[in-house]
Amino acid sequence: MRERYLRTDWAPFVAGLGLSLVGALLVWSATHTWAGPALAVRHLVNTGVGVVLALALIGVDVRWLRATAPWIYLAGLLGLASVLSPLGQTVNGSRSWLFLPGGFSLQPAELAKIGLVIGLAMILAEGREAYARPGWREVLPAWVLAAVPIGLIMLQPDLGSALVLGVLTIGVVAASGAPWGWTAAALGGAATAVVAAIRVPLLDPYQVDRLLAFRDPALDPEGIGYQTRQARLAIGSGGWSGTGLGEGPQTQGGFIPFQYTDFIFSVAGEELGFLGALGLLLLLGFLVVRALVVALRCEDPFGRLLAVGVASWFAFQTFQNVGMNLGLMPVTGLPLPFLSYGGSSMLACWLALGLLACASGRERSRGSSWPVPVDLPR
Amino acid sequence: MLGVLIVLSLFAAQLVRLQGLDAASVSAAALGQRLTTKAIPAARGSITDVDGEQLAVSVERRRIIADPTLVVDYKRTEKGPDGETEVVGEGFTAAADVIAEITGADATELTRRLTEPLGEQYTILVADASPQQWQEIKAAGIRGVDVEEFMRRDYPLGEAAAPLLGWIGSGDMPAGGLELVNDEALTGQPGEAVYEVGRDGEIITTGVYEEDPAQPGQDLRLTLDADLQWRAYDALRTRVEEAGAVSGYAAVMDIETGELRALTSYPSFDPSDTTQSAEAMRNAAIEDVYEPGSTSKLITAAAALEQGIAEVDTPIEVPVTMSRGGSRFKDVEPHPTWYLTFAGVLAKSSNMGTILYGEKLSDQQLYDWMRRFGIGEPTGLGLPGESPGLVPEPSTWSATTRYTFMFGQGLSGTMLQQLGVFQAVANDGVMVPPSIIAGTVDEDGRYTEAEQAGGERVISPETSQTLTDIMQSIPSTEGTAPLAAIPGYHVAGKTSTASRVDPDTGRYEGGVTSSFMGFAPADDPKYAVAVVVQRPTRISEYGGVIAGPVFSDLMRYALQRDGIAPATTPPTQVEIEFDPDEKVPGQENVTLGDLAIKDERTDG
Repeated sequence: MRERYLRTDWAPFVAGLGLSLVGALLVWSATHTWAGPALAVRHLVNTGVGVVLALALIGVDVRWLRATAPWIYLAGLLGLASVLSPLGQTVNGSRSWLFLPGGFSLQPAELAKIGLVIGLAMILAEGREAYARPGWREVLPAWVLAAVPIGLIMLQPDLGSALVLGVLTIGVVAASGAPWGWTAAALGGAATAVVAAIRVPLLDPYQVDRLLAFRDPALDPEGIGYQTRQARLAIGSGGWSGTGLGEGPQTQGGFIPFQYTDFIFSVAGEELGFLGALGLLLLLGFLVVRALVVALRCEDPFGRLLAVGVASWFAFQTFQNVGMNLGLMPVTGLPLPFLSYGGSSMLACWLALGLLACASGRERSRGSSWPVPVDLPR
Repeated sequence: MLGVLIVLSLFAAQLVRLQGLDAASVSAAALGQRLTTKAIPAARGSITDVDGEQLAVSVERRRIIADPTLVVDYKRTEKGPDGETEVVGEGFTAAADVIAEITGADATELTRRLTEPLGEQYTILVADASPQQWQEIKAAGIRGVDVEEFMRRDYPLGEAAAPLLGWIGSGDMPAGGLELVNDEALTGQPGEAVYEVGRDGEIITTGVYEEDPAQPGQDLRLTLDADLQWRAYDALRTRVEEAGAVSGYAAVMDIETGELRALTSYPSFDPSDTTQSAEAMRNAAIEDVYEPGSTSKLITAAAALEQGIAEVDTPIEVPVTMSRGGSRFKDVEPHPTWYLTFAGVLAKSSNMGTILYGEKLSDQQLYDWMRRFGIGEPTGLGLPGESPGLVPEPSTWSATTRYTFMFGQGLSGTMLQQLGVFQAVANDGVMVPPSIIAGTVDEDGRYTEAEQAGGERVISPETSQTLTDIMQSIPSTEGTAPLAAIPGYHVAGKTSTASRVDPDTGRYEGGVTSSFMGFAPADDPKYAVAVVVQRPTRISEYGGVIAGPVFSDLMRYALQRDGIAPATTPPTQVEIEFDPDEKVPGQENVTLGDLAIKDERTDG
């Protein structure tokens, strides 16, 4: 056990901790005018709880994790299902929340990501020869495994989380060594679905407008368009070195709705400037790359797929969130890992780091003959 | 790996574009969105009396307004005895109660304003509250209750100076009087504040704040004495009401400078009313014209003395009646043939006596002397609506105009024009135009004296001394206006009881104009006072009786206020009557009666 902690790669933890602390500062800056330090303090508390859980995960043997994988996955599904039951609460048009006694609230979609990562890794790594590539017998159940939570999340509806689960699944399947055809088909299917959703009158016109408002704010001038425009103004006002923490007029003036959750990056953009924003991007990128390195080094398929799952999750969520802050991606409600305010997201991200450590804990002899896929997506 | 790098560089590139290349324009756009400009009203200058006492002053007031759709959510909380906060009231009635307790407004009325009609988003709760009251309401924290700032113009003297000062209505527009003519100096220059506001309208404290401060208006210092002004108004009001008269005016003037210490009229208007009519706001003291009557005999007498037609003791035999220009002339009181000196004619205010010496002046001379004393043109006081009066030119005169002119009928003028004649006589013959503005005081307290017009000699010092000597016999216990006398002081003055033209019909059916004007102390005149009462219907019609007591009251007050010592010598006496049988010194066979100016014309 002690050996396991000694061997652990602490770099992702340091990066995650740094991001969480910067996040607390940014949350403070965005909320202190109306909430005082309360939300920043809760952000720190969430971080503390997350760190403890992650440290606990390091000590868990990956074999035990594999054994309990079905239950973890099912627990995730149960959470998602209960949101749709009368227990769930609607916030901002999405039925995504469970309000727990004692003033706590939970967003099961965040924790479902953990369940899906473990579930996919289990399905695609088990029950076959170590050196055999997974065939349709493995890939098809994997798709089904992913489709159930994605479907449940779309019922909330929460497009952002559904997209993360989808991309995560594609990433894990691709990394599992399954034939490329499967991945290509999945990507093609997803692209077709997106185009169809916009072209075919499947969605209401207002929903399409909201998706496209990031390019043309006039499509939803008081909602997404306004938010996008304000985020752009805030980031642009920051300049190279920023206005200084707590000094950004766009942030302090409260112009950006939900700035402390989904648009926390715009606070960094305005108050920390280009240097601060780029630094955060590099830290987040470092996390993703580090997860991929773990995957590359891991000789156990289960651990490897865990790492790939975490990597594609972080990568896509960062890409999507920063992209919408910069006006490059449609606005879908998604937190920025470690930085955005939100307990469930924070717990999920730290659990993911725990999984990463757990996976790397099994790495052994460097001269492994296990064929390593070199061309990993993202 | 490659994907991560590509995405990272894409984001970095977008960051460079937003924060580097477009930074200037984007932050300018952001600033433009946050910047708000607010006008800072300039405080209107005060109007003060000669000692700096406020006559018109702007005070900051607050209008309490509300958005009832927000007020409805109000919950009134109180700390209970156990330290717990408990809700003691909710909604409109709770909010109305809080505001009523602070401002003293009626809670039921406030509730009505909040609820009728339901759904309105703007209502005025308290139209006029103090800044202090607003602070208390603000502290109560009722969401939806807000404030508008405005300046209210207060006039401490109220009606006493209202027509003179003018009035500022709710729209900050000056109406009439000094407020209007000095509006530019009083107004000042509004300032401007530029600051950043957030989405909810709150000021961003860390943001830009630039202020171009308002330049407050200048204070206007008048020559008026607030106490004297109030006393003049009060005494005049009392007298007008006692006498059942339609109106009255009074003025107190410093003889040497022409500065008015009081200028008032009754009826007046209450400047604290929210609306006024143009009719009520007329400054009757300078706008009303009337036929001056006997005070005008002073001009005829001055002309006769200056032209060498008469001297103070020139004997004049005044008949019972006489006819001129086809009309029969009489004196006010029937009398037998009077043997009066020139002085006596003026002292007893005999119309026929005045005609007898005055007809030695040509038409043009009479007219020119009127104009020389400023009758027929504005006095130059500079107040809006001042009337020049009307002195018809000789070419338009009827057969009797020449004669009525001599005792002040057939022409019209203002009280101030008449007062000017007395001022000139009192000031050794030098006429100084009246003035009301002493100067201006700017923001830093620097006082700039107003430019005062210089005086102009209209009669010689000798003539003015003669007239002063004669007029001293009028307001005395032995004279015709004993009520105008001031015990202990020598006063020179002249009564007038003039036929008044009815403003509606244009005929002499309007009763009389009763006035008394004069100056004191006669030896070294300090103040000239005029009191005019229009159409008295009770007590008496005579100027000495109606206006004399008010004159006496104001003059005594003004003199004693200045600490002017009572006279120690007896007044100068002039001979009023002559003995027609008395021999002319040096000429044994000629009596004064033979020399006297008599009615020798029979043309009827």
